[in-house]
Amino acid sequence: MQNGRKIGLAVVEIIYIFTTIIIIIINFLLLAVTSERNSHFSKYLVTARLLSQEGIKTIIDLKKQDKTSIIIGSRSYTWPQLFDKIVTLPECANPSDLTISCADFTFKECNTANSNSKYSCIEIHTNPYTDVSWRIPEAENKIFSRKIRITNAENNAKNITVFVWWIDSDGLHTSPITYKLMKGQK
Amino acid sequence: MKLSIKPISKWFLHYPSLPIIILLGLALRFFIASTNSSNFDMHIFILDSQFFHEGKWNIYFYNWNYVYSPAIFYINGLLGMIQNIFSFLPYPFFQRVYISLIDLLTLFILIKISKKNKISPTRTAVFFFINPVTIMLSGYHAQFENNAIFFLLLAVWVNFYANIRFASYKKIVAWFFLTVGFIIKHILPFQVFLIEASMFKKHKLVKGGILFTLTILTFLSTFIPFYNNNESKFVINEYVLGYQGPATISGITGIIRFFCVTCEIFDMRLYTLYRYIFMAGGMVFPIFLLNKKNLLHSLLVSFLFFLTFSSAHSAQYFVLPMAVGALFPSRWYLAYTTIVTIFLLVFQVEIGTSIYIKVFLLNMVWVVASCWFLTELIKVYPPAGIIYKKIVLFVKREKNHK
Repeated sequence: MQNGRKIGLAVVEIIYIFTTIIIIIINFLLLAVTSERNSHFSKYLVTARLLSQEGIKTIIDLKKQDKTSIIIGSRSYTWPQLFDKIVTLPECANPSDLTISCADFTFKECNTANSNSKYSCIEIHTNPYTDVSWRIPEAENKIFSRKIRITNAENNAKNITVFVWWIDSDGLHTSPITYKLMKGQK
Repeated sequence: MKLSIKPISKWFLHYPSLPIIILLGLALRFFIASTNSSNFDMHIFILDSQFFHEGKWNIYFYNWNYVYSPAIFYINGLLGMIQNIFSFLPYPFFQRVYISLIDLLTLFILIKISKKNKISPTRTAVFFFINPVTIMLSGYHAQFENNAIFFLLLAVWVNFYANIRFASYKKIVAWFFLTVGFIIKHILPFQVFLIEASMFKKHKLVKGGILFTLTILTFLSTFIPFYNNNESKFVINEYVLGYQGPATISGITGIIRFFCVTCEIFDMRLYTLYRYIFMAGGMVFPIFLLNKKNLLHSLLVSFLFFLTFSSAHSAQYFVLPMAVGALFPSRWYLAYTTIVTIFLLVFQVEIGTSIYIKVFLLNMVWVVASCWFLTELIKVYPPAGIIYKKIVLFVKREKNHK
């Protein structure tokens, strides 16, 4: 019985080694076929995250500047006005859903009142997410779109979600980052 | 201090198949390493090496994708410097070779431990080093779990097997290795605590608890130089220390989410609450394993506990039980190897394959890991076996009754 058991385990080991070799060969073949598109997709995902990060950082910088950098319709507001509820944002049913319409902004360039020098500001848009107006022209291959969503958080705080997305033959891919912006944050 | 490291050539004389296993294992890893393809994590590591090269030291400010401790950034930077010398080869190749060499060092420790425990070193080497799971995860994914496991096993070897004269010195060296392992990858707190507490004969919980606290404090102190602006603080708090793993699509959180996505208790989603329960349970479970005879087997059980109850599963987590598991091969070990291999083959095709197939395979891995966990748990806790037998008997009786 003991010997039989030993032989049994040896057979299992041999089967295991053969299976291993076969699986590894299949793996090499699979890698060769899929490597390129796999790598492209991963790279796009990382780029999308970096563009989201860049969006959040720009918002933080904008808030630090005491300028009228929030454009809603024909009026411009400052960040303190946003926190003081002089600007009222519509309630958002699902802030993490890119495809629904909430208080969604896009970056643009604004002029200072007294001179022609330009600075970044954000302007509200109501276009559907498939609209080309969201595109980031300077981004790689010009396939990425970006929108900034501002939603109400607790008192003296706003949630800033930056969505970056692209669409390919496999559908919609998105990479959002949410950052809680505090009123007193320097 | 006297470390008994026999010449490796002597091993090869005693075990002539070892060089073949090592060469085959390395060749397969290096072959996969040379592929141009890179996954999401590897693209982040490539960015890290670039930031290091450009002198952008506060990685948490520049790269919000970076969810690891600073140690990995430095390793990426150093590997990037080597790549700059051999610039005809891509960065991923160097990281994959580095992780493969870590595997080789892990193998040497496993062989030494095998010999001390009278387990066939050749068999251990076959199961660990030419295992498709370790080959693919080291040669392609090249994540840092392997590095943490190496330091864990090194600490076990130093404290329990190496011929070092002074016991307290042994413990300090072992603690150092455990802390380094934890700093590199902080997903193994349960195992670090288990080993630290097992190093003592009396007052294990208190002494182990003190060592573990020191490990945690050392780990946290590595973030201090980076914790100097709002953006870095946000990334460290939210993404590094508050890392919650990938989407809740597998294991117990997957089941919770399947039945109730919006259920809330104490103002938090049910699956978020489960994460805290898992963390608490994970710290209690090593206490149960503390007085078991075989620390290495307890380590295996704790790795399987992690996979069974974890609130999220990533591909690289599946390497965790492979090294220690090679010391205790069973049919579940082989079943686990097979299902993880299939999962990895499908998983690395990041697009083009139905997400449902991936989720199904991920959950199959979880099921097999859970079964493996139960069979190993029965070995350290026989009453679990009696309960299991009673359930089987009950089911059989019910079937016959019908």
